[in-house]
Amino acid sequence: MGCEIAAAGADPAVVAGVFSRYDEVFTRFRETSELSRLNASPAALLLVSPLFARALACALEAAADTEGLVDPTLGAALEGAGYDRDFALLHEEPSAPGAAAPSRLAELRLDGLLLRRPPGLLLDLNGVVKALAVDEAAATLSRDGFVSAGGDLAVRGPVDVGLPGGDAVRVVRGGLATSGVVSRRWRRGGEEQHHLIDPRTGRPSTSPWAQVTVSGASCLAADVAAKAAFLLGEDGPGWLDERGMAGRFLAAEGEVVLNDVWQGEVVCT
Amino acid sequence: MAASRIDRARARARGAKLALGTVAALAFGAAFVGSKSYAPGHSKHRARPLAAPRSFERAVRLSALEGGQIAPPVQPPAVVTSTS
Repeated sequence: MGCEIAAAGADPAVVAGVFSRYDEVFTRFRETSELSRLNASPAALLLVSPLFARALACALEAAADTEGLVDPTLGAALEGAGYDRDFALLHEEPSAPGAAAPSRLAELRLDGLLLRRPPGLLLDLNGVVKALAVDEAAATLSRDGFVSAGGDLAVRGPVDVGLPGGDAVRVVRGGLATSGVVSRRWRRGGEEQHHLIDPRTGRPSTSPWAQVTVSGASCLAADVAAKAAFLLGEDGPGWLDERGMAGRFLAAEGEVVLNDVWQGEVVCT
Repeated sequence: MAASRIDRARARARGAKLALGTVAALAFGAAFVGSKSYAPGHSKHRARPLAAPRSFERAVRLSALEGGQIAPPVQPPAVVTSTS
């Protein structure tokens, strides 16, 4: 999945197996993955695997819960921004970014294993897949511990976790996820690009936050909420408060903003 | 004589019906066996649950934008969260 995986309290082979299974199905960077084959298919009606259907159902649920902010139909926008290969292979290119590609969520239908979508609509499920893999791997923990992938984690039993900027927090239950633009950014045609696409514009978000960390009942809940809160910009802290979710916002200039729920639950060191 | 022609016609009709019924039954049986053997949509084995543990399914079902639980740290971090 192009990120570091860490675990404690789990069988490393089992954890590796879970991530490998998700990667084989959902990577955009191998032509043989189910996602790549589906995106390349000229058919409008497709039969998908149970794992694919489950992840897509989660993505559609996340889209509904976030009023479309976390959106699985932004594959074309990501490619337009230049994210068309593994991040390690991205480098500055003089060509301008592609045209904006806003959400096409309304054109997507999933019924069991049957997916209906217009050919050419490019799916990208990375908004939920990594967190789903973390949650599934964490469900195999045989004792207290954690599973972390690229910093998104789920715990069994309390785990102390370092935060962007140097603070720390104890995750007692559920998961913790951070979304932001600190590490995954590149330049295209002289313009800064990143992977958090705003579905309202079809372009990389112009959020004032550098990183948003959220505590959720699962890694998936935390990750979806962190992405949505990031995209909401100044409205992000309040949006999380309305849902009773703790959020920590790190501004580009280094200022840390804690929403009311976070302040109520924890005092950072 | 007329009765005999009618009897022969009835016998031919019975034979034709029997032949048609037999052919239809054989065709249905062959299609049934063939579909069971070759069509991927027809399970030849008892259905098994997905590989994911039930606790995972439960976590995913119940977790839609629900908060977790955090507290002040009490020891050095075991792991770090960072941008994904």
